[in-house]
Amino acid sequence: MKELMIDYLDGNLTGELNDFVAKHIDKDDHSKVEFEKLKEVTGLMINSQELLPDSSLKLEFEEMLKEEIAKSTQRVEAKIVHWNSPKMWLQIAASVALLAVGILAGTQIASNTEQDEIAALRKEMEATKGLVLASLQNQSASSRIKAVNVSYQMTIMDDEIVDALINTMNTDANANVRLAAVDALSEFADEEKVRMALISGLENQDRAVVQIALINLMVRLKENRALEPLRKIIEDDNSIETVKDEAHFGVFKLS
Amino acid sequence: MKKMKLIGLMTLLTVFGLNISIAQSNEYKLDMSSGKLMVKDINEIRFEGHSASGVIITREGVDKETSERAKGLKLINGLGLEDNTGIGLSAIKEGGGTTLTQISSNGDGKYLVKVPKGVTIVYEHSSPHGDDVIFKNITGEIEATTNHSDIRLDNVTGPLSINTVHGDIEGIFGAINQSNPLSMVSSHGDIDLSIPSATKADFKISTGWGEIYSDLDIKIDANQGSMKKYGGNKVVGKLNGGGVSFEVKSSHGSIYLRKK
Amino acid sequence: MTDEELMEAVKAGDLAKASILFDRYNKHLYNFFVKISFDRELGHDLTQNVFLRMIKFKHTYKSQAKFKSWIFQIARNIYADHYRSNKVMTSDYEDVEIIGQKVDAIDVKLANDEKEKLLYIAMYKLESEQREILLLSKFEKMKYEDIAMVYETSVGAIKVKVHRAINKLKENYLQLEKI
Repeated sequence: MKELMIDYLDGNLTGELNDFVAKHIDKDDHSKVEFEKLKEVTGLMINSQELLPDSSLKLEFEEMLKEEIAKSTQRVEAKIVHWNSPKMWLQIAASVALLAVGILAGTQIASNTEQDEIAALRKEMEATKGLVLASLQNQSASSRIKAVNVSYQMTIMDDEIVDALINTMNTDANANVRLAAVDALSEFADEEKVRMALISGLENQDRAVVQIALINLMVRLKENRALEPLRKIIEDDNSIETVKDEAHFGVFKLS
Repeated sequence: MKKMKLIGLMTLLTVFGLNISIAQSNEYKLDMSSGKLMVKDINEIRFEGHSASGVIITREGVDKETSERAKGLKLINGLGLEDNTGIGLSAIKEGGGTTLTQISSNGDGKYLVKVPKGVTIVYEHSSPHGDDVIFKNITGEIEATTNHSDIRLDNVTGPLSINTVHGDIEGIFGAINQSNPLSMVSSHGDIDLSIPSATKADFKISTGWGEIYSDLDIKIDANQGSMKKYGGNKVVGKLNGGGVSFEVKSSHGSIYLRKK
Repeated sequence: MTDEELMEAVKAGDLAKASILFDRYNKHLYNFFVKISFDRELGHDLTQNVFLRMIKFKHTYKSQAKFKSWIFQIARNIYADHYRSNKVMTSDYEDVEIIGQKVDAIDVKLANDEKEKLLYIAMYKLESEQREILLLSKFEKMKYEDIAMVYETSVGAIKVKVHRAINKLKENYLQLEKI
């Protein structure tokens, strides 16, 4: 009866059944009370107050839309066409692209087979991530650069990947690899965690080429919080002259 | 008298191509066909690819006077390294390869290092002394870091990871290896590259405050939000449909890309 | 233009039309998120995320599919992702007072409407999925068929879930009334 009451209330019953339930509710006191309560609760839900978002929601949306219109959508449609290299990389690329498409969008009305595929892809994704993280340790500098490039195309800037990139930026033996990591991270410089890592990277770098690139990045990002670390560089006797000069330049541009 | 005889003997031996490990000689061979050859702070050096096996290092311009006087003695330096190659270099096997360091403190001697295909060259030079470093006919991977020295690439294929603070980078490319990225970065120097026009590559070219010049047929990807947002000069595009990742960056210098 | 036509246009590259979809749906999504979590800030952020994903993954929108179902599917997944990474089980909130305070913090009008406040507290005590289903069916007034598309399951299954949720809600509500 409870079930039927709900349908009755929704107006989904017809004909004889409808009448039957109506009568039952009317006759039986217990049922009547039940029904009233159901009506009350349902009514509260249907008529619930509409909460209004802050006006900044629309503003932020418009900002975001502008950016998206300007940006290429190639990164999202990551059909990483240019991997003519060993199969491993092709597979990574394919699974990254498919996964980005399937999982993140909140899977489109998928059939059962598609759902299985997506589950399999999710597994592959974890494996892919593992592969990318491992490749960041590869012996060859150019392989590490490749790993950084792939990880940045994994639009899911997953925490582990971000941490690995930050680590690469600060500790990789090769400056070109570090710079590739800075590039990748700068695409996500709007995220606070990444932004903070870039700023502290400024102080902690021991490679002039990378420091100089970071200083320039801060200037382009108009990041005032870089002023502190830049001043430290200028005051530090151990800083390389070239880096000090760059820091002066940076301070000048940011002040 | 004695001196003349000794030199005469050495010359003879060298003529016959014998590799004698005496106190001072001109050549040293490393039995390497893969792995990394790490070269640190050798001031005057050229690398050349060869089809023979192993790494062969030749020293040119030896001071014969010193050779004679130092006969029987080993060249040492403050880092605790010693000349164990007979050509003023220390060669130590470590971590996946061999490291060569120059022992002589005034950086005497020009070196020519011949490298087989499978060996990766990792070159680091940090002092302001020394000449440009040249890589010629190299088909293996090159990693090079310099502070002031210019880097010249003559008929290389990549993969490359090259960075310099003040040096210029000049390169003439052969058929570019598609397997792994090429990255060339300079903070203050210019980068001037000649690239075969049929090369397939995905270019990422950027300078902070310099200019980018090119006569290559790069299809530029105009949708670069980053460019608008962050300023600087950035060109991202594909050559011949795209291929290996080719990154060229200079913070303060300019970039020149030429059809070969 | 219908929602579906607008999304079709966005998919084809006319991103500007996403603005209209934003105007039509932002309040719905905002209410969904706030009423499920009782956190206005979170609601704001998650709503923004939904639209970002809508644009970034526009190519996954199946032509002619019901837009409302699609957008709420994205919303559901975003909410699920958020809770997976924050590991907060909302059913941990047993304490009526705590939930009550959260509700008060959301909206002054809500705080003063005794009955509606009780409703939300009663909802809070439900399982996450049940709350979702009720939000979609009773608050958003979505049809069973459309909800079935969001969850990729049968209409029958949804109906059962909705009924169970309503009954449980009613029970909770009645219990709370007695307090």
